[in-house]
Amino acid sequence: MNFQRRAQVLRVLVSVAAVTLPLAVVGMLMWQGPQTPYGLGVSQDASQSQLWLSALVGLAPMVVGVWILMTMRALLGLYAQGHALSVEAAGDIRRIGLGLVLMGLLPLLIRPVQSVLLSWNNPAGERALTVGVGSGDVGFLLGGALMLLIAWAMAEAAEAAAENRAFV
Amino acid sequence: MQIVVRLDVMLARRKMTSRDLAARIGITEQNLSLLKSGKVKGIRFETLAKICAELDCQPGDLLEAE
Repeated sequence: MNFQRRAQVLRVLVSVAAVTLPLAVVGMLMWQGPQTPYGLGVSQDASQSQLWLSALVGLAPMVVGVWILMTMRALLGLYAQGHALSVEAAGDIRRIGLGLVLMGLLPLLIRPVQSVLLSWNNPAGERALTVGVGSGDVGFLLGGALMLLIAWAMAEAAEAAAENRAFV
Repeated sequence: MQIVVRLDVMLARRKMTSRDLAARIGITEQNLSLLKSGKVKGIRFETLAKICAELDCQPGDLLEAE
């Protein structure tokens, strides 16, 4: 199976994931109802509205994840058409890198917001502000930074390829 | 100073069409047309050598500085 054919196959898989991921997440949320996120250290007595608000805030990484998948789909489309060394492909790789960095930064914002939301109605002295960094967050940040560097290199390569195509 | 390509003159002298030459040297007719009109950034030595071999000429017969 050549490179373009593999890109086409992967593009189909990514397209399926981009559709099923949000459906699965929203479906689980609607079926099970919002739960107190694990590891926030807040009480289990939050109201339904607090839980739903916290759950909506918690959907932000999923939205970014779907955006990353759609950008991957666009990139794989370029690969399938044989435009691997192009400015557009380099741009898509850069956007994927930005998305991964965002996936690493979002939990740093979401956890504190969720902990405050879920403990808002607690008595004074029992409210919580949870801050934490996980290995997954660091992984996303480093992976995203690497993708941004790769995107820069690909843009240089695309420029060289365009220059080469102008020679006969 | 600009480099002008005189390929069309040599093709006429040798009574060869662009299509024939393109097929013989292994480049597309479109690229050969771009070369004839001077709309390329450069020519590889390999391509230049093949053209000279097919048209029995020197590089100086094809390229002129103006």
